[in-house]
Amino acid sequence: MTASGGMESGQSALWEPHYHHDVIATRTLGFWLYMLSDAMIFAGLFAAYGVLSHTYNAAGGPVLHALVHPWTAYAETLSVFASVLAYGGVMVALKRGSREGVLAGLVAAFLLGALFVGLEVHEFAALFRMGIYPEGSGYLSAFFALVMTHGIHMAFGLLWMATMFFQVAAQGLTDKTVYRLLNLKLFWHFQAILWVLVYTFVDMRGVL
Amino acid sequence: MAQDTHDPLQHPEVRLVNGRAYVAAFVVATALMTAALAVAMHGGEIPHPMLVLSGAAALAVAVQIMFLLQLDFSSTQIWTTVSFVLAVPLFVIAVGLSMWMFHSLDARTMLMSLMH
Repeated sequence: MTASGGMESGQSALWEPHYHHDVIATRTLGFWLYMLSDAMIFAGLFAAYGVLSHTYNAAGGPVLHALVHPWTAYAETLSVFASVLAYGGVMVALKRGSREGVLAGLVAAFLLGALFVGLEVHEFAALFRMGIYPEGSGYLSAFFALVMTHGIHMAFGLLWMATMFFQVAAQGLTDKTVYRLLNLKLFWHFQAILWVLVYTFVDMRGVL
Repeated sequence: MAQDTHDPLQHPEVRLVNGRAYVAAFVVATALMTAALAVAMHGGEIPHPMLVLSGAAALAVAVQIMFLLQLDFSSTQIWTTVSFVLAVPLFVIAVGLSMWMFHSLDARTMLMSLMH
């Protein structure tokens, strides 16, 4: 055992003055743990939806078959996946050190993400026009809470992208903008994973 | 973990970016969700459609985790992977136990018989 606590030679221990703290790795891991706790919110919402999705919780009101439109859900899926792919383009440009590439990728990912939010707003507006609101039944409350929570996450992702566009344009690819772009990557890719679950267990289950 | 990275673009988490993996994730996940749409729209002709849909979703999630989030056992990603693996049972238990409890509760109350 050495003074550095048995660590391999060449690495320094936390308490040594020349220890280099890896800010990027610390912050991305911290944000990742936050995303996993955020996933537990979705676990609660999926559980509530699973429990309340029986017909008798609809209190005689509309059930899933009347609420979901398969082609709209499919278009939303394509827009989420395309936006995530565009954000992959942001990451590739970041690796190359191309500020212009990062900015162009952010614009593309933003527009495709905005298409998703637009489709969802359009879908909900149609339901509201038909007099279908979250307070209609326990069934509807669980449905709207789950789908809207995902939609609000997407909207916050767009806000974050817009912020990063201006930060990268103004500051370039610095320590701070790089770790924020990496965290946004975790956030955005995580939304695509959650969407697969919403699409399958809410939309496609409703079409069946 | 301790990297002397004055240039943030040389950080291992930037270096592991892989454009081909992102394209592969897009193609496979889109194909699986397209198949899910076809299964859902012809649910009556397919045995156990919900099981098929769940399988497609599980595959799509697995592909996205491997190719988008690039979770693996490398020294860069190991703690991301470990924390994810430990969080998955919590997610499954939270959803699964809630549904099981209420399913068995429904079966023991009059509500179910009122509906049928």
